[in-house]
This record gives sequence, structure tokens and C-alpha cells, in this order.
Amino acid sequence: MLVRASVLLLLAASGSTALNLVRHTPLPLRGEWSRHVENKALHNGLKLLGISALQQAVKSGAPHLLDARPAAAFRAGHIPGARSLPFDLAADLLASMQIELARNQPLITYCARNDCDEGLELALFLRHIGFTNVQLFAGGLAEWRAAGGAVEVER
Amino acid sequence: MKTRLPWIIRLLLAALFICAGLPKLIAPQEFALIVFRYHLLPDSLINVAALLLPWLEIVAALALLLPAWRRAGALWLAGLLGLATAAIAISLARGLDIDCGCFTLTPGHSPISLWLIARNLTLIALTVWAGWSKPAPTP
Repeated sequence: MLVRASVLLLLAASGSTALNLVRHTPLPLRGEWSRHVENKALHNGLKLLGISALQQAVKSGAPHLLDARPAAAFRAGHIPGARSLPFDLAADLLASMQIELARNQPLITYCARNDCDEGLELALFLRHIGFTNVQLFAGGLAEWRAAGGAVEVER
Repeated sequence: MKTRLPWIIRLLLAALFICAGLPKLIAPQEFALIVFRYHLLPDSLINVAALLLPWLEIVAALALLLPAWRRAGALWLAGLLGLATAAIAISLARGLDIDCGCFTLTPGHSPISLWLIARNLTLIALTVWAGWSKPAPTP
């Protein structure tokens, strides 16, 4: 039985290698996961929020959801209830009190998808200036859409 | 009916595991992200696992239908289910909010839960039974 189990493993390894070689975009055998935004967030002590928790949060409307993408991208479509706080303008917007937030308020940041950095950078910046309850939804708008979530468009 | 039961169970299990393996085989990038989010494997093994596991699932499922290979197939399937169950249990204990990635890769459609552990344990029991049940004696 162990010989046959080894043959099955060999078959699977050969099949997966062959298919990966002929793929339009093959998956590299060694991924750059240590540079992934979620790993960076965890190494910086940020709490990650998953899609099911975000869906519940949006449904309940309780926490502040902050879109870290540029304002034009926000206007073109965002998670319902989110506010625009582009990462590069966050300091000015908060300083000029255009956006008022309590320091202990639950905040969730996000950007376009799981390979963008603005959501992470915004979360780190907010924590740095004293916000105590900041979470990152690393999947971004792309994962929200893929899960069937509605998108709000600014007119 | 009783004599056909092991065969029917093997057929159903094979269909189930092929259905589970195909989405992962078609979209390895998405599956790799799900494997990564468990934070259990070293970075160097995440993509290898994402490429190999779906094939192993499908090859073992097909082996379950061949009399001479069914025990080897059942061994792999029970082993894979055991690993997946342990990964879910560890992630629940760590408080992770992630998708199982068991039968669908669509975000939010299969969050890890105690129910998934119970389901997997049932599938392990069925797989072991289907692999090791003796064939009915010929009249």
C-alpha cells in the first residue's frame, strides 16, 4: 500500500509540475510571501480583519471603514459606508479636521486588493498618531467584490 | 443494496474530492493565498503546497475507484483531511478570521468553524471505512 501511495504522490507531483509549466502565468515554486502586505501587517502587530467579519461589520454599520485609495478611485466605487481617507493626504485631512474620529473608535482600513500597501500604511499611520483600535482588511475592494459585496459609487 | 454500499460511498467520496480539488487546480494563485493565510507553512512551501495538494486530492479520489489502489487513495485522502482539520483547529484557536478553502475559493463563502471540523472528521471516518471495508463475498 505504501508503494502505491508513493506512486500516487509521484503522479500528483508530475501532473502539477507539467500543468504549471504550460500555464499562461505559472505560479513560481517559491513565492515572495514574506513581502506580502498581510505578513507586514502581522509583523507590525496590526490585527487583520477577514472578509466574513467585514461583512458583519458593514451590515451592523458600527466601525469606521476608511478607504486609503486616491479620492478618484473612491468615487468610482467603494465598500458601502466607507469614508475616503487617501493615505498620502491622511495627515492633512485629519489635521484640518475635515475628518473627525475618536481615538478609541474601531477603525478598518483597506485599499484596492491584497497587493496594495496604502491600507497597511494608513493603518500604521493612524496607530502611530494615537488611534488604538485599528484593523486592516487586507483583501481590499477586490476581495469584497469577489465575495459578492455591493459597491457604492459617488455621483 | 448492502453489498453495493461501499462502492456507492467510494463513488460519492471520489466525486466530492474531485469537486474540491478542481477549483484549486484551476486557480493556484488564489489557493496559495488561502494556504498562506493559515500561517502554518514556511514561505518556501506555500506555493509548492498550493500546486501539489489539488492534484493529490484528485489523483487519490480517482484511485479510490480502482480496487487495487483504493487503500492508497483512501490513505492520502484521510491524511489530507486530517491535515486540513488540524490546520482549521489551530487557526480557530489562534482566533484567525480566514476562509477554509476546502470546496470553494470564493472569499467569505466558507469561513473556518467548528462545524467544518465536525464535517471533516465525519469524512475521515467515511474515507477510512470506504478504503478498508472488505468486498462482499461472491455467491
